Amino acid sequence: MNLTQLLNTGIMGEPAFILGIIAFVGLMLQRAPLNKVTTGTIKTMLGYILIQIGGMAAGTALSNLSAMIQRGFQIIGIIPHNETVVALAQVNYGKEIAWIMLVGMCLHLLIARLTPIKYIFLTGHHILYMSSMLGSLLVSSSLDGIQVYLIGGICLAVAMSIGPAIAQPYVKKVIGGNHVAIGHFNSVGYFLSGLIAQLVRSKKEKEIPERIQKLQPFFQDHMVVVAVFTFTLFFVSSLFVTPDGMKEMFSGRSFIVVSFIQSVWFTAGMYIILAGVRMLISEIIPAFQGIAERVVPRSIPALDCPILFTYSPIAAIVGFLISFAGGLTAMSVLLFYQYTTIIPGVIPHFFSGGAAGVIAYKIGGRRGLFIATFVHGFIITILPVFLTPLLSGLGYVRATFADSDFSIVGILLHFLVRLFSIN
Amino acid sequence: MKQITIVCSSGLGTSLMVKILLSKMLREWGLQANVSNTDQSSIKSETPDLVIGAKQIIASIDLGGTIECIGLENLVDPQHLREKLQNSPTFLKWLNELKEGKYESNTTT
Repeated sequence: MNLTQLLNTGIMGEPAFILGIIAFVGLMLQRAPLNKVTTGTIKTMLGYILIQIGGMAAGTALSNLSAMIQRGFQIIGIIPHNETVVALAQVNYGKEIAWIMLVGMCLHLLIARLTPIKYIFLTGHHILYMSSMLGSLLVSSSLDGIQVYLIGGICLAVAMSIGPAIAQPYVKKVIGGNHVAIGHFNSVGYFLSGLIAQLVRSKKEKEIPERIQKLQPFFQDHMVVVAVFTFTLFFVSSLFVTPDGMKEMFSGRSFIVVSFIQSVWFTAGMYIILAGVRMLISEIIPAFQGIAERVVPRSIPALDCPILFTYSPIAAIVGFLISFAGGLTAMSVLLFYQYTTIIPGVIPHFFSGGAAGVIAYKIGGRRGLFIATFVHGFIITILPVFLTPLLSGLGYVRATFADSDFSIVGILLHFLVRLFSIN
Repeated sequence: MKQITIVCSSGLGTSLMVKILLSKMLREWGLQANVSNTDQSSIKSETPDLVIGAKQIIASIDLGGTIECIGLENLVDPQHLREKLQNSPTFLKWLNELKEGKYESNTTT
């Protein structure tokens, strides 16, 4: 048995095992007690399977939705939704994704150890999402197994190190120090928001009206938000599908019932995916952090974007709403030019738009906040237009990656791979 | 075992970071507790002994008032978390029990 065979068909060819082994080694290095090593390893593998189960449920509802949008409006609507596209990628390329994650995390520690870029990227779900994007992209190129693992791993490691560095000039000003960075793959979006806010800075400082704060509780329960949003999409599309068409698709059930049940299916699927991702990363990341602490002196942890929300919860909620409005504008502009459009999703705008809002508000005041987050929403909606065709290996999936770095890394890597495969 | 639950919007990134920070502190104090992280939709069906989260998240969840919820104003500063814990009645009670040797680490309350 040679190396490639061992990697493909042996124990290392099963993603659940690879991830289990990562957790196992991590916990052993941490000198965790035996019962913790056992439960941690099993839960990591369980998380991986949960993602697939959730992906199937969410994927079914999503393909029904895209079929309805296509029939009703004669367009193809793609929804940027990380969890769904990652779950679908896991079903197809689990092995590649697990390997890219392992190689990337090791190389990332090496970069932090050997170079002056000391960030340690600790947002586990984004590491998983970036690996999924890289896996889906590289598998559809002409590279073979080990090349995919290595090139994917290198790209992941570089993205994990450079991402936080790009946003840091502005993040530093919000946090008031350089001891923490943002590890969230929307760095380009944050950088642009900071830059635009700086350019259009308001001269007089005006406060955001307090009553906007009251809107916040409505957007806090994400499962409810996703269910309502998906219901709206189903409901509006079903109004445009002919009664005969609906009958054909859903065996004569009322369109309201169909919309309701389908949106709840989608949300339930997403809930299972989230539970799976949480289980998968909640063992790997603490171990990764523990190892990083030992091998990289003076490292700077790069954390998930909601840590910014506490610096101005109002700006986060305004940023989300305006970024979403920017996304809707981008959707209409796209429809003007082509058959395929991107339907902005609430969740990416909540996180990325919210964090961009806090950065923009702290740097450019109220005017900075309004203009920067609008542009931000427009850009993160347009970018996946260029990424989605590159992920053709995933088949006719109507979901794509939402945050800016996924698209930018994907597009850059695509060009690099093409450049080298010609020579 | 006492149960501390950290909550954030989707229960993925931020809550896990606070969990790492808190677990380290609990080890320093020698206090044994089960720390887990979850999302805002799931917290409503759980009954932990103590809930910790960002202030805006704590403000929007209602657990019936019997469970103490600590709202953090800063999620990245360990000192802030330490101060909040040292001002928490539930946590102080545990520390006292620990000092008097009455802290029960293996029973559920």
